[in-house]
Amino acid sequence: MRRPHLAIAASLLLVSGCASIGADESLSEVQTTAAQRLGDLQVQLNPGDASDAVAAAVATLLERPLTAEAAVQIALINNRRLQADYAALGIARADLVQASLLANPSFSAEILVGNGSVSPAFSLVQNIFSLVTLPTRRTVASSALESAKLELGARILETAAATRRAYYTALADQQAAGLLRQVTSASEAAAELSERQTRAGNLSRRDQSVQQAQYAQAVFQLARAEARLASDRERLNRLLGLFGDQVTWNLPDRLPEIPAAKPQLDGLETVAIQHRLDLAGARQDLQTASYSLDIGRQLRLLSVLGLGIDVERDPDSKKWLTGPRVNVTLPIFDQGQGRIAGLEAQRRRTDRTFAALAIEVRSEVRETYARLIATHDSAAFYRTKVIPLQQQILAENQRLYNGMLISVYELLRSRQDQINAAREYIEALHDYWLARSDLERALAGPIPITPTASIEPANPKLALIPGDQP
Amino acid sequence: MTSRRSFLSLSGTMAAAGAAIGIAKASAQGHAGHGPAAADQEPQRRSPQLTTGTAPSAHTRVPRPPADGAFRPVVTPNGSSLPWIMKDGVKEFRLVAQPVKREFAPGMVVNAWGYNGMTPGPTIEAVEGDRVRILVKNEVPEWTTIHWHGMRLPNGMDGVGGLTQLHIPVGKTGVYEFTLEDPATYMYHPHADEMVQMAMGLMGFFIVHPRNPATRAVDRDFAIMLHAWDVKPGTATPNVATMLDFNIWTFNSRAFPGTDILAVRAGDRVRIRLANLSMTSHPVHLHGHHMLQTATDGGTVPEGGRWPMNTVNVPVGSTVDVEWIADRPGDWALHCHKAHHAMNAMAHDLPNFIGVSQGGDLQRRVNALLPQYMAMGSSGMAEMSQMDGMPLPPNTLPMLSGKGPFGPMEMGGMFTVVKVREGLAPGDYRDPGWYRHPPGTVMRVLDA
Ligand SMILES: [Cu+2]
Repeated sequence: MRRPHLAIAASLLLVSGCASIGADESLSEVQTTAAQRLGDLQVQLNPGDASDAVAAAVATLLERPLTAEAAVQIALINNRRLQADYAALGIARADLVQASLLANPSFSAEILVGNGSVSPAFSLVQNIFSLVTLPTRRTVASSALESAKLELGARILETAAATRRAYYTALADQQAAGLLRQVTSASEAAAELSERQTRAGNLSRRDQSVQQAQYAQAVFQLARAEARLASDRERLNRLLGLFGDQVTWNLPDRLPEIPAAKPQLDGLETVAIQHRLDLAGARQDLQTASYSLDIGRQLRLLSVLGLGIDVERDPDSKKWLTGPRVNVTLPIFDQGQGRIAGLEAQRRRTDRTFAALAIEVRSEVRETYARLIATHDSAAFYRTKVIPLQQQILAENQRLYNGMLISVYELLRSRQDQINAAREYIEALHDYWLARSDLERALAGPIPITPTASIEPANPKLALIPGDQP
Repeated sequence: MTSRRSFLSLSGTMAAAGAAIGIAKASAQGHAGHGPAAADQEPQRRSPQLTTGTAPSAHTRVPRPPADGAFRPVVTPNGSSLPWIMKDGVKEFRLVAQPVKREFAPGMVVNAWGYNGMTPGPTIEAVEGDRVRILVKNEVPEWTTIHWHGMRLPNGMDGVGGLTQLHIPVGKTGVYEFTLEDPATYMYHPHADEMVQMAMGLMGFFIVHPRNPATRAVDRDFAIMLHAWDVKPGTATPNVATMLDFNIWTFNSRAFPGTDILAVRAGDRVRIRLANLSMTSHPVHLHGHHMLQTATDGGTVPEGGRWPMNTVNVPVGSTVDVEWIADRPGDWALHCHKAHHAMNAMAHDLPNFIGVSQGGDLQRRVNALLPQYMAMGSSGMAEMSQMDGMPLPPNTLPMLSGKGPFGPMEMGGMFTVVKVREGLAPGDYRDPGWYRHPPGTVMRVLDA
């Protein structure tokens, strides 16, 4: 399952290597950071000239029934909004470039005319203040760039998570629609039998209408399910950046079954704290605010320190006089109190934001973990208890039908009940895969599974009776 | 097989003593030793059913005539008669009311209650004027009594719990003792939680023979108890709350094809004693002969009051004796004529598909959902009797069943065959096989 993706990733790697040369090392950094957290899928945010190669890679991935991994892979190389977000990164980068430049020197000239004489004066002043603050401004700007990169990385992970969710929802809804098609066909058969009975004079129009109404209800339900599936597919098309002929992709027939092993909660919070890019971004924001505050404090009394030279022709002697010039603002009225207070508030704000996010991340891990375990148990319970019970009911009803002890209508209804149980199982399975996607999102990476992990169901009623075949 | 073998070893000495009289099945041979003669020889012997209490075979066990020739015993198809011992001039019978597993027909065993391991309980037979003592041990899980249905006896022996006696508690024994006043076909059954205890199968015949064996003498004398049960498909325990919707109809707690045949020698005078403890009447119909109703549970009908009939209605809570001369060799059906009573488990609220095509594309579409589905009922229900391979719910008899020499018999419930044959030995009740029709006496089918 993994192999074809690896091959595609390798071919893209060549393409992206060329595309990134000279363009931006911060891009490849972001891509690497995100890719590490996505099971080594290829991230390609600046297709540029490589767009044909990307299109070819997308086409190859769409050839077979789409897996969750393939869907995420497509989003990572083809989602235009991510590419736009990357372009936005350029703004932060430009700020950094700007911060590395010295302020331009200022030149002034004046000519005084009077008493029959003309006396010109020139001055050239370089604000050396900008020279002094250059390294600190650079630090602030590159910290801001770092924040922007982390933010972009986080957005990549969000897109991957959203894609995974949309994928499982589409697949679950496709499967449910397939099951509803079977329900409909059972209702249709019952309706037709009842119609034939009525035509032969064996069934009242009233009883026949009841069958007909059930069929109509089933048709309506199916139509709704199909509309839902169509909108699921469009959500995926948007995330995967697909249009035109590309949108005819297929999904597999069924959701993957739940894996046997359950993860352990131990250590998951630490993993999240280490890997979450939004958290890293918040930490970087705090850093940036701290730098800004430092600079602000250093320079609170000084905003202009100009050194220069003045050249002036003395009108009397007609000689050129030359001398140095100092230009200083006097911190009499503005001692920077407001600016410092603002920077201090900004720092406090980023600090609290970071702390809040850390708490939220930990809680999110625990919550999604609990949901993963609960949905795992529910799906397992459905598969090992409810589904076999429904199958048994159907088998017993078939025996009753064989003995003319129940009607064909009851038999068809029993089949519908069994199908509806299967739909509920699909729902349970869907919940599981959503919880799994959410936990992966909370961890900013794959869920570490201890192979021997065996977790008791949180709800003891869902504990499987000994002897059950899981 | 095991139970039969253990029974044979128990009664081996008796079997050796008894001549090979009255055998419906080879396995019933061991029972030939039962009856008054045997009881006289070994007064301490107890019936093996008394000790086993579980699933005895439901084969007919033909009792031996008593040594003193005081009466000619009745044959209870799929059942037997109760031995007694003489004590101080009193005939002492022992009944144990207990849970029993009763096979209604191969493939269906019912969790019933009965007496001495069987339902109906063993037939009690004695003679007008006899003093009888009946010890009733209660091994069912609630109190019980026995009412001697139809008899004239002292009020305190009538068996109505609360009204004429204490109930017999669980584990205790009740003792009834009275003198038999009038010869007739009677019944015994509980008069304590009567609805439940009869629905579970507690019932039996009590035959009082006339003092003079020559009175109303017949060559063959059968006793058949009619009953109705509600054993839902796939279950084994009768639903005791049912009032109307019974689904299993039995002769001596057996449903066709589980009912033993009635073997009759051509020319025999035959009596069938019918009793009904179900909640509806049963018009029992005999093919090929004219019968006379000769008695009720009130006694003998005077000769001038009898009229010929083919079908005798057996009212609820009554017994009826019919007699006829078996002068027509052949395999003659004997059955309740309420058509639903000659069928096994069926549903009564099925949609009607008579004359409705269910075939074509529709069958294919339903099969896509239900691969084992087969359309039924379009032309009738006869196809049911030909669907041997299709699995039914466990412990459930097919609605229509029985294989005859010409094909499916499509019957069930209250149905059996009277086999009238030339030259049967007296007392030979074995199944003589299918009737061989003289040439030219069987219906022909024309091509068109
Ligand atoms: Cu009947």
